[in-house]
Amino acid sequence: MRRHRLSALLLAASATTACVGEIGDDGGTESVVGPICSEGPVAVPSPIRRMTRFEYNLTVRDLLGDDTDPAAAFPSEEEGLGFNNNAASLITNQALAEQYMLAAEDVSDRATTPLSKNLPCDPATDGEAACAEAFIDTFGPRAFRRPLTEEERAMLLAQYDFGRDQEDFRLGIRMVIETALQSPPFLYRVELGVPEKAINGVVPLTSYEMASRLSYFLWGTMPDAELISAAEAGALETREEIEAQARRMLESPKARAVVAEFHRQWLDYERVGNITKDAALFPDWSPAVGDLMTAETSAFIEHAIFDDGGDLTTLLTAPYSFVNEDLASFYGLPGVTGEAFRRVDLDPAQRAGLLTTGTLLVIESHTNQTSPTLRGKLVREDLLCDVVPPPPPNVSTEAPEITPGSTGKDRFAQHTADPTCAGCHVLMDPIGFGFESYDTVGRFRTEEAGVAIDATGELAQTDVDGPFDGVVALAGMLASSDKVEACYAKQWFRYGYGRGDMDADACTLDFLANRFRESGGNIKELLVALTQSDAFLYRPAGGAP
Amino acid sequence: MSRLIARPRSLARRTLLRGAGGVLLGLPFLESRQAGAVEFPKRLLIIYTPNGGWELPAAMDFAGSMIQALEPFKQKLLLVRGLDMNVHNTGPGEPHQQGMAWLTGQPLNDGSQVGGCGTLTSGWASGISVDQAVANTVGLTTMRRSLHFGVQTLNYGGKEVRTVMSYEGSDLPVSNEDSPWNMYETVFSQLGADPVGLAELRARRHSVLDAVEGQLGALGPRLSADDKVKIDVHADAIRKLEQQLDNPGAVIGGSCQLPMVGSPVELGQPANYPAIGRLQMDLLSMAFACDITRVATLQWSASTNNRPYPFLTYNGSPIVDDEHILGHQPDSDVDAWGKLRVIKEWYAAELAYLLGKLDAVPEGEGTMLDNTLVVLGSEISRGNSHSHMDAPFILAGGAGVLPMGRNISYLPEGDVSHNNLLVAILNVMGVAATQFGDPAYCNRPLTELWG
Repeated sequence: MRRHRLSALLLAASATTACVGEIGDDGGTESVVGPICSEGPVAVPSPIRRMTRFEYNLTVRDLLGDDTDPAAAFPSEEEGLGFNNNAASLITNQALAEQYMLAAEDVSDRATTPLSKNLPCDPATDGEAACAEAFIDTFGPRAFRRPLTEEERAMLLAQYDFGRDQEDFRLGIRMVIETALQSPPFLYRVELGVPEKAINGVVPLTSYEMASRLSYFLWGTMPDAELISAAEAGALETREEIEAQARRMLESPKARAVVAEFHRQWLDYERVGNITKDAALFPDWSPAVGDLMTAETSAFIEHAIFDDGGDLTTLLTAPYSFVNEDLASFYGLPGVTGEAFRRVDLDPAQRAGLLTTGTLLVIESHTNQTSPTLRGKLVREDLLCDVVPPPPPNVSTEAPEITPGSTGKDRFAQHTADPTCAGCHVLMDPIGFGFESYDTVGRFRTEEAGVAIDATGELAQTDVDGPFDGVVALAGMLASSDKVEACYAKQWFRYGYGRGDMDADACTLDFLANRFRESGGNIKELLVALTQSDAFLYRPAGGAP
Repeated sequence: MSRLIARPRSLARRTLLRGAGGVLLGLPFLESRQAGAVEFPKRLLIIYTPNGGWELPAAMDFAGSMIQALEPFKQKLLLVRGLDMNVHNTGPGEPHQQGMAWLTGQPLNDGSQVGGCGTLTSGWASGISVDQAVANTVGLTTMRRSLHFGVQTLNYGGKEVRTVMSYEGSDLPVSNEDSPWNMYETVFSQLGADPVGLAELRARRHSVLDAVEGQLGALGPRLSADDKVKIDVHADAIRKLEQQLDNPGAVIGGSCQLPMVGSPVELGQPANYPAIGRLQMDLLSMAFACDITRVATLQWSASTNNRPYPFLTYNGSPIVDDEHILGHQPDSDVDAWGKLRVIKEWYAAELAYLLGKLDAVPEGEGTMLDNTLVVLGSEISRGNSHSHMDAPFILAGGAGVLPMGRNISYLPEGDVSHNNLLVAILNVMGVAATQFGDPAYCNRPLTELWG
């Protein structure tokens, strides 16, 4: 049907009707059907990828030294599966094409001010024509991330001539930049592979294509000189060569930006800066506190992954965080002064990594009370990759009324008492009850409305089922779960490969989950593994079917 | 955080424009007026407010109603009650998602976007929206086919089915511009430029875009069918952009003056909602007055809007509640519905502000408002039922076609689909059509609108 044109490619995913379904397929570790991995690479989609705003900004920074984030004015990306880089969603409509045009004009202005800023030559001494050619021969391949074809070189030269004829040398150079920045080889990662090496309907990527894949996956920007040198030498063909580059790249500060971006989108925590709360109940809450919490969560994630254990367990359980004076005072933490965020050790009986980070506690609450349902749903969907089906029609999904002396657990008890609700809510609320020690604005509490907090809960339909008391205990269980590990790997698959997973990806997901587990849940090792899968190394042969 | 702050793209250009602040910038219809044959264009303006809840008076006496603020424009209004958006009772998604396709008259596509109530999912709309269908006819000669103004529509972080209402076609959502400063920069930046410089800029842009189009054309055939679709959409966008370049810009003078937008504020803060809205309305009315475009949409927030209105008060206290949750409360909840009424009264006053702007621009014997068809609607009719039925619409202006100052109710008749209103919008705007969206819902021409 016509209706499915782009959406169908977009997401090979739909919620199942059973109370827990997984997005995509059953590609967990217990898969008993599906392709036999030893048979070699299978054809899975490898869609053309358009730059996101994040990638555009980083790329013009590295290409032309422009650090003004020009893509901030672009329309925001359409989201798919929680990430904004889902290739099938990213089209270029008129509004975006216009923004590309305007941004390119501004970038070219800055890139030629002063004229020498990005020139490899001096038009006064080397001659304008020779200098223009020299610029095209250095800038062009960097912009397209591969050598120019003869046609492309002639096309850019013609653009130079147009600007030169209309005004002067500088305008000619500007035209070259403007054209390059709106050209498909700049905006898209176009991959055709090496047709001569086709096997089983798939082809390996060219070394240049691989350089871009690696670079945008791990850095969110264009390849550096070393990657391009490796591509020139044809040294991005074997798994070993690619792995060596990936390891080098992960030690660069540029990798931190991508890891941060992944987590920002996966948990969508930055929106805490837009959250409002009932001012009568939480007078000291403001969106500005939310912005501080965003900085806290970002700092924690970066530290846990790059400067501490680097594994999923650290991310889920580390009992420290990063606060400045204002945020410390909001949380009631003594002894922190100044605007700078610094690490503080928290009570390990009270706080455990991401699960107790302020942003998520605040977002997954109502304006006037906590929501065990939303908090449980976050764990169920983002950490376990299950999909909770919608409530039946004609059911109120409102926050319950707060009656004097009631606790969150009382108010949400109906969900599990009423059999029509319980079928699904049993998968969320009993997890969420463990979070009751944190109030609507993320602070630790021991009582609500004069009643002592009961933070006991239960985890069901996982590989680590059982009762628990409080989030610290829950975090420990989740950190030991293979299902959580496989889910985290799957989220990275979706972000890194820019698409939803499908049946044919079962092998790749198994491979990733296994490598991740063997490394002890090391996140950098997972990222290396993502560069070693068949899905990363190959693409379907041929273009038009 | 930084992503919420509007960033001027080019300070140099902005400064230049500010310098020209006092200069009259356009009188697009001056020539024809002097020639004696005044032919003012028709415009279409579609306005969205979230979460339904409009209660329109049954007679043209607005006293004591939630649209009392519209009393001064009574003779230029046409209130339409009792139309059913029943096509949106079908297809994927929850009601706040389904209803956001109200301008398409078709069900949503399947997809994985999670909605506002529970976790029902949908994709984008499955067809063109009526504003785009109109723009494809009346928008071809203006600088812009259409403009899409948003006021805090991106509050869920990204763009999704609840944050847009305009579509070029199935799965082709048209973004709102939420930043008045970006809108100013994009739309008004060429006004007042010297004609020679503008002609040269145009020539350069054509040169670049031709080269881009050539590359896209060469690339498409080498790709898979799925990727080729995307490259074709891009190539089509480039062609439209080139066409737009050739359309004449606004001419200096008369009612067309450079709007003043001041310094950027944080786009996401609830407290800034009214200020951003006013700026967008100022820019919108000027875009019409300068004939930059003849088709515009104005979307207040996203559907399900779960934001507070801290700048409004109810019983002396700021309204800090989540609007969506308020709307879910039973009719017996006097405070919830009291607050919602304050919110709706505010939207009515903002509509009055915008109508006043349009009405202040003289055009021939009448005003620009008289030559504009304004249509205001929502994604649902009422929050605590999530119903798409008996949806009220406020029409204004009439585009010189519809007799105004009237009140029409289809309530007694039962199921009269709002698709028929979409057909009427096309007809008023001079586009011949007997169907729009799903033809099964286009069975009752709304002849009553014509008097």
